[in-house]
Amino acid sequence: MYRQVLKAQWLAARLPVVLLALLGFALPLLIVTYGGSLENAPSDRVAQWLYAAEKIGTLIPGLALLVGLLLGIGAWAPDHAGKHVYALSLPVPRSMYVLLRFAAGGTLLAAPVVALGLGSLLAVEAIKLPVGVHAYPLQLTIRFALAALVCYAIFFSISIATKRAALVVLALICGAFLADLVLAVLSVSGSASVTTTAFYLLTNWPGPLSILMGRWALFDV
Amino acid sequence: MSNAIETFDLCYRAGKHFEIRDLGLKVREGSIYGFLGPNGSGKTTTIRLLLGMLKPVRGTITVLGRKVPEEMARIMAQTGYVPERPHLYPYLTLEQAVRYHAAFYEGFDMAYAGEMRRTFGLPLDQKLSHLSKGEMGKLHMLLVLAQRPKLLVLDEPTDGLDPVVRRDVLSALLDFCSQGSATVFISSHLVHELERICDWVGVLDNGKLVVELPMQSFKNGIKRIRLSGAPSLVGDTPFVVLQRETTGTEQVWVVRGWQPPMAQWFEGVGAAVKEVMDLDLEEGFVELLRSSRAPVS
Amino acid sequence: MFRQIDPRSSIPLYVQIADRIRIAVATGEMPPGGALPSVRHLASELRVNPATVVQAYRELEEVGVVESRQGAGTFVRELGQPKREAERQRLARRLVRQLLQEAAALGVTREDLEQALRVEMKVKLA
Repeated sequence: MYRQVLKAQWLAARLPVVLLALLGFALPLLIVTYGGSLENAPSDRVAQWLYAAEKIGTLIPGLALLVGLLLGIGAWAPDHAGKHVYALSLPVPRSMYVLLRFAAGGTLLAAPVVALGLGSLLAVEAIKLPVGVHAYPLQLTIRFALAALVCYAIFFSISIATKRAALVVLALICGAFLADLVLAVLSVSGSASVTTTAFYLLTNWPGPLSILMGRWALFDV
Repeated sequence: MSNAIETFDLCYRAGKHFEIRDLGLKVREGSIYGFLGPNGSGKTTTIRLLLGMLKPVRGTITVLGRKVPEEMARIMAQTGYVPERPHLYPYLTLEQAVRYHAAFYEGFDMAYAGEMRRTFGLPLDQKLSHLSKGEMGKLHMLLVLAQRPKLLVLDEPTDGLDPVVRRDVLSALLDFCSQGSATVFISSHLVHELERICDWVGVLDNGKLVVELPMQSFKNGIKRIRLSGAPSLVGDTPFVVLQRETTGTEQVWVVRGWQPPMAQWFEGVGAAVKEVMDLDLEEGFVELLRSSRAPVS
Repeated sequence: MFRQIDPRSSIPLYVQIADRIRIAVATGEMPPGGALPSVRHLASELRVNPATVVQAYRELEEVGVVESRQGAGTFVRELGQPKREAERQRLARRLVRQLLQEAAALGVTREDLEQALRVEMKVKLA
């Protein structure tokens, strides 16, 4: 049963999963190339580089949110379309069915997570770090995995409710993410990223979303 | 002989008016039960109630000896359901859809499914969204029959299908029925189709079960009687009067539950029976509905 | 052979099916010893309830036209010449009965019928 549910979910969510994986792979590479070369750079240059890298790094929790959102909604989209009639007619208790869907969507999370991991490793290999700067690819990946899972769980639960509610949230998040991307690429100075501001607001209280807070640094001293 | 489906005092309401009222269905095991009723009478709602998709206001429902909705999963494991509108995932191909469905049913007969697919001429790698209405209808029947269920609940399975596809679908259904002792609960407003295959009939009108009888009794029991000298006021009759009309010196009565000895009743009130005419199921159905809406005084 | 059985007719379906088979046996279309289609096959082909076919076969067995052999199916019985003749005569009488009923309903008199018979039969023989 699980295999078939996973297959069905994969077939429905192929495109977003692949895109998210590509994004996950590309982000660490973006981090290392954004700041320019680190060859023989003086320490203040390194500091600037790290700052730039961290800015890009703030996109990672945004990606985690996006992954959770798309896969959380995607898990229920086919059933929503058919008004759940098929699912309700299957000889599986409702709770078991929800579990199957959750597990299947959760399995698909592996793709962007692994992609981010690979991208981080590649990024770390690609540059020669000056003394005193360390890379934390594994920690970053694990944190990303947990964040994505949390977001997935939240949007999965919302999605069981109404399609409309989930779509509204999706629109907002996409907007914030896009705005952030634009800002970061255009290097608008001194601007706080939209996503981190939103996160700050949302995660002001201690809760599962707090995992998204703080510094997401691939490189640090 | 136990009942595959049994309801008692079933009531359902969505909004102000009661959609289903005091419904007491009894579907005998092994029978092919035709659930007749005009559009909007509540057939689909009843089916949804039977399968635990809607919650009744009151009443009990027992399917295959188990209570609905408490034992729903066990019931559905032995039930094949074809809904009014297709409910499979449109982005799957036919083969993927069959494999998906099969994963949930222990006794799913893949060989039988393959045989039916070939008989129906369905393409394996076609996405469901690209299938014609007829192909979808065939696929639905294929899936539920391959489950080898004890009970089939079919909600207008041939609605909107052309006559050739209808024949194929019904042939496959009857072929399956001949192999075992499955119970079939089939709702339709296509009376002629049900007339051939059903041995029981239940008529639903406006949420109430108007009649539930063996098909032959229902057909035989509805007659159009031409007579003269019929009384204008009627007290107790051994049959149920559905319709009365006067044309000239004669009267025409449509009655239900007729048996030949009842001609004596007419003699008793001084009337003369000129002719007793048979009505086919469709005519009988129409008369029954007409009378249940405007009861004869 | 069959297969225009009419569910709308007041004659029960199983009687219609049984009659068709009796005709086929009488005309020799279904030879003695030949097998009747399986219940499964006939029910599916005619699109009728399998119980209806079972009833038809049982009826035929009761009047001695067929016999069912456990596990093998239902087969046409060997009817002796006199039995076959009796069957044909039974069918002929039924045809005439139907004809007379229809004539009465249409207001055709006996004389009209006899006249018509003579004309039609002459045409046939000629």
